[in-house]
Amino acid sequence: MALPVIETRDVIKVYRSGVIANRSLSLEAHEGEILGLLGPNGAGKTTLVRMVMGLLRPTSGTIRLLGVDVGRNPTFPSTKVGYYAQHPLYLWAYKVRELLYHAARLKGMLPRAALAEVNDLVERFGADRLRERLVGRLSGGEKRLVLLLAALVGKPPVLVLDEPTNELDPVLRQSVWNHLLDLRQSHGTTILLVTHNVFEAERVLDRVIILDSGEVKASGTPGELRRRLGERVRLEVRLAATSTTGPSQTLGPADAERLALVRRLLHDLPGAQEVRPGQVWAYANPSEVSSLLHLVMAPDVRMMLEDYRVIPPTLEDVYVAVTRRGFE
Amino acid sequence: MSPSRDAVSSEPGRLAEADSEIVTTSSRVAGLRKSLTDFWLILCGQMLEMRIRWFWFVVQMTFVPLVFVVFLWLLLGRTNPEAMLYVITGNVTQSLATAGMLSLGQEIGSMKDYHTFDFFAALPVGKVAFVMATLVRSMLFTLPSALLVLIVGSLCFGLSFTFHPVLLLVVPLGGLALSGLGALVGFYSPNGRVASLATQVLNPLIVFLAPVFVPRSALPPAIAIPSALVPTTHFAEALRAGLRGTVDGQTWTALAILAGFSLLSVWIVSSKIEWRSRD
Repeated sequence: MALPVIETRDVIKVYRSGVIANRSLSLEAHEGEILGLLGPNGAGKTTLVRMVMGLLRPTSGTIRLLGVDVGRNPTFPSTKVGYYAQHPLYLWAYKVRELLYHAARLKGMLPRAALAEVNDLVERFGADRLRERLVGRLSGGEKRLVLLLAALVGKPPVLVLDEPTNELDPVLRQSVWNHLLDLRQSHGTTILLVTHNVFEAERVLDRVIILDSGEVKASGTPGELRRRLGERVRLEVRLAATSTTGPSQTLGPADAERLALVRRLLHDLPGAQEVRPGQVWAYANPSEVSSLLHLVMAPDVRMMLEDYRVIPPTLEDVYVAVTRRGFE
Repeated sequence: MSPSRDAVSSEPGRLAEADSEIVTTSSRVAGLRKSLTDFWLILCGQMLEMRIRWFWFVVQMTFVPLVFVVFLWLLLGRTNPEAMLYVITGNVTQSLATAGMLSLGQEIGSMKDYHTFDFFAALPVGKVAFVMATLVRSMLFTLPSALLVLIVGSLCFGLSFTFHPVLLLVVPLGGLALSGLGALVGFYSPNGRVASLATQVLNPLIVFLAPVFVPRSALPPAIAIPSALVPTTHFAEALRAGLRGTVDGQTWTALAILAGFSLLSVWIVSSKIEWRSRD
């Protein structure tokens, strides 16, 4: 069996402040795999990827990249990995083409090849109009794009991307995902991806690891994780707009009482949680769906609802079920 | 010199050894070429800052030294040229020597604050190339101001300066000698503010514990004796000799000591600083 491209064994990270960012984390990413790290803020995702990059020392445990111990060779990842950091770029004075060209040359590319690579990337992502602009004068999303291109330049065998599509518009996001899938297909690139976007994750990731409080809470392919929820479907209910502003101001006594009843009814459903004010999710087995719908469609209940829908299990449901925190 | 492949083709063991030596030599050459390329690219990138800061750079490089020299001239006139020589050359010494330490420490600290440092740390860039590029940039930004002080100082106080070729060695070695200290401060400070404070605390120590503004004979023995261990002592003495055209054996001794401190700085940066694995 081939060695994993990225391997962590019992990695623990405790910061000087005493915060435990990672607790005995073990994971593997294999060649050509897109492995996703999901988790709420503070779960330890960025800490983990920074340790994989050799930018941070683990308190204990081992991290191997392409079989090389990163702890003993902290400069090795820089030779094999294209890294996209979560933080914005403050290299104000570079023009976009200069920054990308310098990144390519610093990665060891020869001048002509670096120039060709930069031109190819800029055209692929429709960033031609940004070429001669100063990085410091770009919008937030444009800066993110440039930073991402700097990570992609040179087609490294491994990519570590920390929330790469934040602040990108939907068209660019699509281009990024298509390019990553293309790299995986054509070059066997291994990608470790940190993301909050469970919808995109579901479309792109081969395997997912859900972190919370520094620990692995769940791991597997998106399909495997969804099956952990069984065949249950999700009922999403949104209470009528007036009801969310406070019944005492906008509803008469009869309506307020009806609303309170509806709320109690919904919260009594299996696995019910109010993910946002006025928005309730509940879960039911397929055999229970029709009785659930009857309940929702009852006139007294229906008049208190703005919208409802029934959805098969998604990665988002797994995320919510595992982390039990809802959304940021 | 590596043995040729033809000469040892009949001896497989020696062929492997020869191949290994050729590969090692090739690797070293490739490594050196990469380091020089990295140095050049990072230096060019850092010089690009002039695009957006040129106005304030011009103001800082002209206004501050002009005010300093003109103020002294208005206050003291040409009453004591010898003292003014030490003040003017001392100012130049302080600017150039501490450009390496101050700027390096503060620059690296602020790079960490803005996460720019992570951008370079995540690329296959050598520590030495990175530090040297930052140092050279600082020195280049400081040189115009130093030259202006010398020119205006010579006009105001009737001083006569020469440009001995030894200055081509003195200036870079003077900056390099303190670069190790600046790099230590920058890399190990938790943030830019601490790095700035640390360098500002160190700056008067390396200036006033050395005969930068006065002759060594004017320093009290408690300072004069240990001043030999401070790089700015030798930088000031070599710089003064080069500017006065009085280069002698002592000047070359000072240069050799500066070279020693410079090698120490390079060793500190290459061997003792872990810039990528930080808590």
